[in-house]
Amino acid sequence: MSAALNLSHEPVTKIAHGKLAMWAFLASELMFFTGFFGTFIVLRNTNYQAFYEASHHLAWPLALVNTFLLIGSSLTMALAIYNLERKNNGQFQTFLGLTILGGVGFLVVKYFEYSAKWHDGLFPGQENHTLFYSFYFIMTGFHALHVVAGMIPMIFMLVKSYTKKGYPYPVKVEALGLYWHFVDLMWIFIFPALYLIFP
Amino acid sequence: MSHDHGNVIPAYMKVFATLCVMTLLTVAAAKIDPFHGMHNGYIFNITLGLAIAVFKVICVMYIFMHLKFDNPFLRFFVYVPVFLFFVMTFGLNLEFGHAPSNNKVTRTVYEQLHPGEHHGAGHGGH
Repeated sequence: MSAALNLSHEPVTKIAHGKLAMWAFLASELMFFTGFFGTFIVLRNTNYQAFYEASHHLAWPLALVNTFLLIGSSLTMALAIYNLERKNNGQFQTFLGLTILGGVGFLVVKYFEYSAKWHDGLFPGQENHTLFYSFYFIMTGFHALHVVAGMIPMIFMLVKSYTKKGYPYPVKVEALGLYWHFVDLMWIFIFPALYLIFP
Repeated sequence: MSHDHGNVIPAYMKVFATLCVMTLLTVAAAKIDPFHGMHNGYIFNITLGLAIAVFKVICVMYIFMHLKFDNPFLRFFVYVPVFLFFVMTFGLNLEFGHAPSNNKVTRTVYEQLHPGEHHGAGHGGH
């Protein structure tokens, strides 16, 4: 896409507006999650015993599977952009499809996790472990919403790349890629924070 | 973007492998629990977990998110919020987290959450 994309209207930064806007949005997103992490850490350290007991109901192997699914889908997203820039439409579609599958897999695992917690009465407002599970559902819930929000434009782009014989807006895919990597980054913090730091 | 960065696939693969190894390392560190029995060890294991996560995040941002290849101007958007993120996580962890008995604010919260529980002056010292 190098030749096709004209950035002469952005003479100082040479960064497409969409991409710059996505970075600014991600900066605000990071602040959003920072609030959760900050309060989580303070309450965890002042209520260690309660958090320790509550966290032992979580299934960390499932979260490990989810970590690999997200890391893998980050890789396939990067490869999709790489192939789109080189006009390899077939490979772009393959890797974007794999990225979507990674997101679907993540949500399926999450569904099993959530339904098990619901079944065991481990959710906010219950008698036991309500503080820890408030954090668990808010942090992983917002993260799962981010996964869904990323998959919707991905499906749209994939469909369009079939009907239009290629996707004509590489900057959009690249901005979406940034977002998808950010979703992966947040999971990289959520995974140890909720599942692993209570040995 | 817009510039050809050459063949970045080997770099992508290296980052992917690093992420997988570091993920397993995080699990191993949590299960081995190297700070077990240590005074305030529970503070150190969250710090270790976050430190490994920070390393993974740097790999993703520089290679997958192309920070290494793009205009350095973009890094401004990254360094400032990431700095604030660290202030909130590591800062709160090491100072407030340390201090049910040392820090006035946390002590008040702690006492409200644990009524009637006596906290010895020696606990949580720096």
